[in-house]
Amino acid sequence: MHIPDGYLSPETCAVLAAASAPALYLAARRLSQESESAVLPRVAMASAFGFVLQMLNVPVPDGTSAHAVGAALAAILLGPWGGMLAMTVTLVIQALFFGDGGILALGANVFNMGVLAPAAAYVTYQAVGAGSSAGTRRLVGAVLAGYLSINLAALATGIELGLQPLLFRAADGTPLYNPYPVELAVPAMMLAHLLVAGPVEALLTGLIVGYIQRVQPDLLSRHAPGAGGWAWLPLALVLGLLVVLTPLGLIAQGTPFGEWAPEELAALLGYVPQGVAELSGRWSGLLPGYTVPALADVPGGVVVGYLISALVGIALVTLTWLILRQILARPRVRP
Amino acid sequence: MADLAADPGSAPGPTLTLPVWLGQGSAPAAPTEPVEGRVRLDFVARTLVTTLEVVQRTLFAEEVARRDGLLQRAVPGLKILSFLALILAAGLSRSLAPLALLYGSCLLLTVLGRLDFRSFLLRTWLVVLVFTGFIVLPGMTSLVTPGEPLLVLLRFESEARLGPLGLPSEVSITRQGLTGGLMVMLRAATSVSLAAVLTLTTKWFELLLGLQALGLPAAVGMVLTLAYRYIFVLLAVARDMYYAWQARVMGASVGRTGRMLGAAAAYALFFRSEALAREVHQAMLARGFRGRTTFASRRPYSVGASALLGAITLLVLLGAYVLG
Repeated sequence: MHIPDGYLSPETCAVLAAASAPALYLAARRLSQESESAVLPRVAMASAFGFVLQMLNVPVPDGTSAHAVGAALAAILLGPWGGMLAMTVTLVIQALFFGDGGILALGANVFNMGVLAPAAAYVTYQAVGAGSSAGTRRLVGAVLAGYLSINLAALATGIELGLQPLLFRAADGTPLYNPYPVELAVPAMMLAHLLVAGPVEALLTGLIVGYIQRVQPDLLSRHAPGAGGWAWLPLALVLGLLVVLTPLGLIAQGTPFGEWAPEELAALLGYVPQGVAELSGRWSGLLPGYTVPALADVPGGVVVGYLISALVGIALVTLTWLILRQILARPRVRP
Repeated sequence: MADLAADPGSAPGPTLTLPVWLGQGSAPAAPTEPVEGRVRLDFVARTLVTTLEVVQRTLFAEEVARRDGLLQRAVPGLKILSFLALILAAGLSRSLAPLALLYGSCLLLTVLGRLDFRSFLLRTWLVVLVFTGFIVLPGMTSLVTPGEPLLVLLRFESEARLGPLGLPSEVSITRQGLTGGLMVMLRAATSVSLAAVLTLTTKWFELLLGLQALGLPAAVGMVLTLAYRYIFVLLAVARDMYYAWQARVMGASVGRTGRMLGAAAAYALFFRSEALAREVHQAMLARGFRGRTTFASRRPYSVGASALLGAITLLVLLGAYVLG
């Protein structure tokens, strides 16, 4: 998962480093509020722990042994901010002193494994184990956090690598960086992570959290689901990053299967089915094609339209969830 | 030894009677089969090998950094800036000629850093070929990078199919694919080599000194220093735990027991790291830490060496720019 130098363009690395910076700034500020002088050794020791954790091999069911990346475990044990900083410092030391991951690619590696993975792990752990002091749900939360966090990081890595031949080609078609497009890079990354690395990470995260739960459960309750008033921030962070990435959809060629407009159907089939012709024009949506009609002719208006569509979508889903919560969570008073 | 339990009354005075099972000779150990081919390490051995490699690499880097080479005598800030500029130039290079020039300059720097040239080449190219070569190879074919065919690898009959997939009439290595693949490999080799030369010829605190001169906040430098130093403390803890396990348990330690050991080891490490953080914080307070950190170096830096490194870097950057 550690991307070496040479596969990503410096421009991609710079953008990803800039995307990671606000999260890391927030993390540093959040931790320094706890105790100014105590935060330095805490983050340092957590990073040293994260580094050594990646060396602890454990037997896995296929007869070999493997080690965890540790992003989920760091987020569960240290909280989202501590987890992000610990993973980032670990990645910096790995790149600078052990040649694991490139120096220019550090921005991308920090984005994938230092920010996205711990944030996703913490959100998952919160969502599944929320409101539960019992062990089973927390354990399931930890296992899912391990599985999802490493797969999300792998997906981001696949997308970053896959974008290179689309964005950076010489005039004669020579790929300047990674030659594999998204449709090859993403499946290649995801197959290995969904089937092998993900289950291993889930197993190890679950084992360690289960063990700690048995011998010293108070270690887990410091960053337990629901603790602290800033629990929504990692979720906001993940959603924010996804919103920023939505214009990538503009690069994709063609129309997904089954989502053809009547004109495209006509081109494909030679005719438009009667039902489609009757129903297709009745409702075109508030933001047709994820664009804002008023911005259609403005330079960059399509990208802005994508971002606005993503924000409106999130707002609508949140509103629906709030209304449903009000209805379903209302105490029922029997007469 | 085998008769002690059988004849308890032969010695005069008070006698010590051994239980029968203790007097019996142990069964001879089963002859060990000679191991052929590659030995498959269990998880304990793999952990020990990995921790040993980290320590070995660090000791080797410390030894190289103490040598009296031109790179070792250059001012750390300038050295870091030079290497970063060269790595960035490799990243931005979009044809083979500037990359070849940058790689050549890296080899020159290897000599100036008094590194063992042959083992350095072997190490870096092994990493590049294993991690980049095999990955890039399919990307050179027309399946991934269409273009002008240079070498036809496979030719199919027209309209040949593999299940539902239609096969192309031929699979070839294309000029665009070959150039792109070589560029990725050469860029990776240059970046890996430059990073290795920088970190091998610079002591840890000199690297931090240089980074601080370039604007790294002191607090971040301190976190990096603490983390780096305590990695070895925690590595020793992990190594001792696995040695203790190896010394006390007979037979292969696999399956559930092994996984529980891994979980316990991770817990113990986390617990130790938390305790260390508290101890270090108390030690900092006891020594009057007020949030200011400085790094000092006793090595005399050479202006001539720094100027020569700067001049080489500028010339190479200029050359790479001219070559495109």
